[in-house]
Amino acid sequence: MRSLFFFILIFISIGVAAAEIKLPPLHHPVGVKLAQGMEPPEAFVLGRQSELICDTCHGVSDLEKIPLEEVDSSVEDFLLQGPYDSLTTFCYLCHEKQGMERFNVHLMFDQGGRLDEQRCLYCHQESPEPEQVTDRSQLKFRLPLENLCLGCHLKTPHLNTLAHQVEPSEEIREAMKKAEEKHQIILPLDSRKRVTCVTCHTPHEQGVIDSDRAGGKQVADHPVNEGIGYRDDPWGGVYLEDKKVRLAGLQQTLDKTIELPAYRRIEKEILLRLPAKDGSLCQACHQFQE
Amino acid sequence: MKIRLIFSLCLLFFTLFAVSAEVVKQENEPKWWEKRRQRADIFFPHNAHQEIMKNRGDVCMACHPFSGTKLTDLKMLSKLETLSNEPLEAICHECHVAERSAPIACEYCHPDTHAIRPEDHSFDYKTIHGEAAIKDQAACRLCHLDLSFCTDCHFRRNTPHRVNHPLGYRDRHGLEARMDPATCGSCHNAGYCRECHRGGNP
Repeated sequence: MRSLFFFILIFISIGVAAAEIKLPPLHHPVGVKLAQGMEPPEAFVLGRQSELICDTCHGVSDLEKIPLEEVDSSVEDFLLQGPYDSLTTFCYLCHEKQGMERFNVHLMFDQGGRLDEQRCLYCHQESPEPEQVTDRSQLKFRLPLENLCLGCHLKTPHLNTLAHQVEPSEEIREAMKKAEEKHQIILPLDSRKRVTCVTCHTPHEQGVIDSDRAGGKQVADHPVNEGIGYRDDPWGGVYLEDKKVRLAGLQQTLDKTIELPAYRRIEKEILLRLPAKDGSLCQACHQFQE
Repeated sequence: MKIRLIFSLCLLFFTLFAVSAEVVKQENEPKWWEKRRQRADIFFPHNAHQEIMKNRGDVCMACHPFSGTKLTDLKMLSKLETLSNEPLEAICHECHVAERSAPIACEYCHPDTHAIRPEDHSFDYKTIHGEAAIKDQAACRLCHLDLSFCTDCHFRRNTPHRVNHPLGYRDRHGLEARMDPATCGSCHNAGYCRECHRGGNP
């Protein structure tokens, strides 16, 4: 009798939980009233009590009735009047950009050209003195190296990251060692000896660490605040056309809409330990017989 | 009570086993570059292309794009990476076919030319190619870049010049013909062989 009561209780709990709308992690709160003075675009409808509802931001009809796993976020109107070049472009339709925008921690100098040591503390427990650092353990990172960038950046922010986040083979480690000596740079691995973001990217703006030190060497032909410079390439259309059939096959297999990232050429590079455009960065690890 | 505990433990072990088997399976799945090495149909000498690719913009990323993506589904991303890293015919053929600023011989990059041979180029195609060539000469010239490929036969008249076989090949063609008769067949029909090999002559 007691067991029966217990099982009924479990089923009721499951039923109640299932009845609630499941939202993905980090989803914007729903049901909240709009802040005073906030003026969303006219097309962004509110609930009866001026609260945020699904249709305020989403253009997919009856979205709340679709199970979370089946929602296709790649359709144009998933975010109302989309698609948008970035999620924040959408956010700034209601929220003021100025003051709300997260600052770029890689911009480490203030307007007077002085190093803002507060920025160092985003990743380091104490602001290190670059001249006195002889060993990585002195750097006192707040998190393991592989987790430092996450939160601001995705773990896989660009193509070919996934294939790189592995422990390099003996042959590649040897090539990396040679490249470090040849170019007088560092190519650090994470705590589990895997390639990670900072293996290729340096997080420090030019000048934070002296450029004659291995940790300070970087590609610096472009201001960090302007980001990476891309240019369109005539092969872009050819690339998309060439992959179209195989992409359609892949979409059918996975039953998902997948967007192939645009084919563009890098024009200006920032925060890289070696230039990638001329292949030097890739060739620090990858060597070919022919 | 004991039976229930044993049953629960068995269930737990079974689940753990199934999960670990799936993880091992995923880890053992060959990476895209390992799959590429298995390919016999394309050969790309990376070092030989370095300078020219540098002059044209990107050395590595022209074929292995590092474009930004917001995709977080790792399974999907892995498949997308494979797709994006696949060799792009148009990029290679811009120099090797359209501009002819690079070597144009197919076998330089496609060591196994059978792999890229069109399906209709089967047995005895040489004798029936005329109609297709008249209809779409451009299609022929996607591979047969050198016009001499046509003129060597069509304008040869009665010269002793041999296009495909060196002098004296007739005397020593037997071994190759036995090893790969399909290759002979792409130009010669069975009647061509029978002209000499009558009555079971070797």
